[in-house]
Amino acid sequence: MAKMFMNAEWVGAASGQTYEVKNPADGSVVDSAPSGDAQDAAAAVDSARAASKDWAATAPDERAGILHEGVNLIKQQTKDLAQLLTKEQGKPFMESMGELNHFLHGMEFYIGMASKIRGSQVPLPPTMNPNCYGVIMKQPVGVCVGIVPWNFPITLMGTKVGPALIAGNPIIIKPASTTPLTTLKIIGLLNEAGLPAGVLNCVTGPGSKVGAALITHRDVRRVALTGSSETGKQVMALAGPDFKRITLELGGSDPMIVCPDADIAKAVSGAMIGRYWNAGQACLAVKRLYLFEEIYEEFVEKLVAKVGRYEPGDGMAKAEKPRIRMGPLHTAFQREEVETQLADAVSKGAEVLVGGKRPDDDSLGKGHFFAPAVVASVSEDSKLVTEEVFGPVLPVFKVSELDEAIAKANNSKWGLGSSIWTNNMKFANKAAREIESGMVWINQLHYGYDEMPFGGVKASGMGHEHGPEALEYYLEPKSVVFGGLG
Amino acid sequence: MAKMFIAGEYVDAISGKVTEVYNPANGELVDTAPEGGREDAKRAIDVAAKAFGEWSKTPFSRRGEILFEAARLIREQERDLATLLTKEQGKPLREALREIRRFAHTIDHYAGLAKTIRGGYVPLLDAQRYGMIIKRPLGVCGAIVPWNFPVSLMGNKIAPGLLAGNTLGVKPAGTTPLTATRTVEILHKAGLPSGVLNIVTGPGSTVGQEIIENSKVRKIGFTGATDTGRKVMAAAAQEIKRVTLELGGSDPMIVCDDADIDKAVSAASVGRFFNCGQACLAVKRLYLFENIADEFIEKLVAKARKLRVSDGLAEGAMIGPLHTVFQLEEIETQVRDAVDKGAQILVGGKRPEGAEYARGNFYLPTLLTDIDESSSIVRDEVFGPALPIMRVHDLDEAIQKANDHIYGLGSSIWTRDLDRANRAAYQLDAGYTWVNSAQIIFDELPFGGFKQSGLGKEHGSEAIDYYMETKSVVFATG
Repeated sequence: MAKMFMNAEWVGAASGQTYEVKNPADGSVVDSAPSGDAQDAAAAVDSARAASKDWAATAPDERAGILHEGVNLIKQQTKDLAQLLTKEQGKPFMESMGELNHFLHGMEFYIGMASKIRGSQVPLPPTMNPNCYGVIMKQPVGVCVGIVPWNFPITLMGTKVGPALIAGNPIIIKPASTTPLTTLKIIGLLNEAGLPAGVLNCVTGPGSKVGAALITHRDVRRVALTGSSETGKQVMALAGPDFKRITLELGGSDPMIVCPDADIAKAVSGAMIGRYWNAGQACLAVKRLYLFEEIYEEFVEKLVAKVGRYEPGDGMAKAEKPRIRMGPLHTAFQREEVETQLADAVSKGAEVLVGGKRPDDDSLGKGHFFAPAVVASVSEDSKLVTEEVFGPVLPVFKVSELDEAIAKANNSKWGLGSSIWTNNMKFANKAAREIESGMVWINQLHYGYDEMPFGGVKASGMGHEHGPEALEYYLEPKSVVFGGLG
Repeated sequence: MAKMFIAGEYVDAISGKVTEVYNPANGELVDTAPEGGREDAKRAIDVAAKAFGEWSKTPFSRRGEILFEAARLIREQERDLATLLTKEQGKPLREALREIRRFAHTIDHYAGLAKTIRGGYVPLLDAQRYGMIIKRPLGVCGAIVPWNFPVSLMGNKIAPGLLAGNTLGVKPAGTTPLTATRTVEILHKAGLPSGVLNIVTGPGSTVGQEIIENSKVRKIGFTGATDTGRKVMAAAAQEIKRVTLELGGSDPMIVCDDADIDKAVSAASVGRFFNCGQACLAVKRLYLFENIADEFIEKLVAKARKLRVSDGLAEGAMIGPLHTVFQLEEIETQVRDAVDKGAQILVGGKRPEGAEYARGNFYLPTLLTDIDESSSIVRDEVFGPALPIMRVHDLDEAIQKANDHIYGLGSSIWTRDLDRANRAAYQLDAGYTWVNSAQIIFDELPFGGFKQSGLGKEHGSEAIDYYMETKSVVFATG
């Protein structure tokens, strides 16, 4: 029976209630977790607030040293952690390992940044005073809350915990209710490495109770959310009245454009991993594929052949080559949503080229499995285009020129990532400039680097995670003027 | 019998010659080291040039990992390294330990920068063009390291140099090759590929000269005396090699009448006598406001009397010997010159007496007043434990005197008055000003002198820029 972690202690919910965490591959109970509510949220905020002053005054080297030790502890048990992640989340074990390693890389990035946080010094004009200057200090923002989704429970926690702690803030993590277990283990290990009580806490339970209570608590100054655009709207509305600082990493419907001169084999593999990684449950998955008509047939044929190699199954069991393992969708709701979106497209004339249904295998009957699909002749008003598709279904479109591709790519309320595949410099530059998105990959798989700021335009979010930029969202710049000098 | 480290392995000089390394505290032989020559330096440079291709393509994150691991291994062996450092250099063991830890901290600092190296992007230069700024490593770099901080001053060069993707040839001082070489070996245990970092022991006139003149070397990181720096810069000028020069200093410390006297006294004592005064940013000129001068001097003299001078490995050692007989004789000459011009010795001013000092280069901590400001002890750099104390009427006079010098490395002011602090910060001609703080170097801040104290910066993220070339790229998109 898992517990939550606050003020250096493992605790149950104040109400004593728990709920079950189930394995999406077979419906078995993985463990139970406390079903927290507003009371637990308040207790966590209290402990964070009590810790905030000392943590802000702790030397950056010391903050980094503790987290470095934490990272070392986690490294010693990545395999166990990855296994637990696969059980609660569903993703193949290999992808769980990838997620943990990305988390560690991100933590190390901020550990390295600890002693490099800088404000600046500014010469000032003599308007008010003949001798004065400004100093821009950077101060921690205060108690932070990180609301983490279930698709990448660990890396998306790291993108909040790393910069928050390194910048000198305490933070409370609210994991998705379906994926609290690996998160709790990791938070335990980071605390074991020597974090003072209250600096890193975790409250589990339903978003409607715990999340809302954390966001609206008067002592919370900063909320970081990764989640759907709908949730983003609610978080912004809740945080708005108190002018809390927010970053919102929301949905996307990333377009991928393949030009006639592209390296087709590489682009096919980019589309495949881009769309079907994590069973398609990724904010920056490739969600719309625009192919120049010259290469449409060849590309689709190769893609369909490759996608046909996916074998849905338990993430803990390896697929036999050349089969590729795909885990279940995370919940029954996710699978139904994708099914509805696909059915809508088909009703509007779309053609399913491969997959697109639950697997026949009876042994998979208890899991939320779905055979990955490639869909052609999709009407632009289908839900596959107008909604975010958070599952393994990829609509492909034929375009005759770049302007058309870009216009269609931009015809979306989202603007998270995008990619273009071409060796034509004019095309590459035009796409980089004109696609409305926070990121453009040129001849590359959609991948969030720790080194670069990540964040969407339009309905895809606000603010950035990753990169040194992310730290700025956990710091308040304070302008100090030294005036009246002789 | 120590060796040097080239191409991932311990090697002797091609000539087979060796030099002896003596303990400055007792004249005993510590070890021998290869006496490399031009051929050895050439070999190290060739090896480094060959290793550059691969190393410069190694991802920043991997370079960072290796450096992190190196820092960890160094810390594991800090006591052994520090003991060896004390034996060859003379400094007290606790200072040697501090130096080793500082080296590890510097390595960690740059390892942490690994993933943050960035060029730039400039939007729309005009309607059809945009710009990109890319950073590239320089190539083979030479690092010339002095004997006063043989390990940490090597760290200041190799950490940013390696992280940026350069390969290096290091020349330690002829008298302090041992700990540095051991350290270079440890970096290889952490995963540094062979050839990326090489160390060649031997005289400056051959090994150093080859590193400075060799066409394959694109940059010289040098810490040492200003006169040597001048020669390095002149030689580097032949091929427009990049140089960073961290040279001499004559740091002024100003104590105002509103200062916290006790803290300032401590800072003056540590600032002047740390490393037996052999530090580029030691406090070398003390300017006291008249109305607190007597009190200050009395307390400082009392403190100086308590400093225990002994073999650096002896229990409770606070001040070790000077590093060489030459250093000892130089400071004796400077003190004598000051006295000849009317200075009073308040404490010290001579070698300590007794059997334990007989074979070492010891000199007592020395304070002098009534200084004729044309004395060598004010005009030249004093690289030993002697401090001239001057009285001033006010801050203007203090700043004017502080600035009346060829050097401009560090400086400090002690006052509780914000206006005085700010005036000193703005008006002192020095690369560093400490306000109410001992003169301690931070890896987080750029360090480098004004005027004849040097050129370029070490420490801080700034140091990386001195190990990279900046290239502008214009993309026309029309």
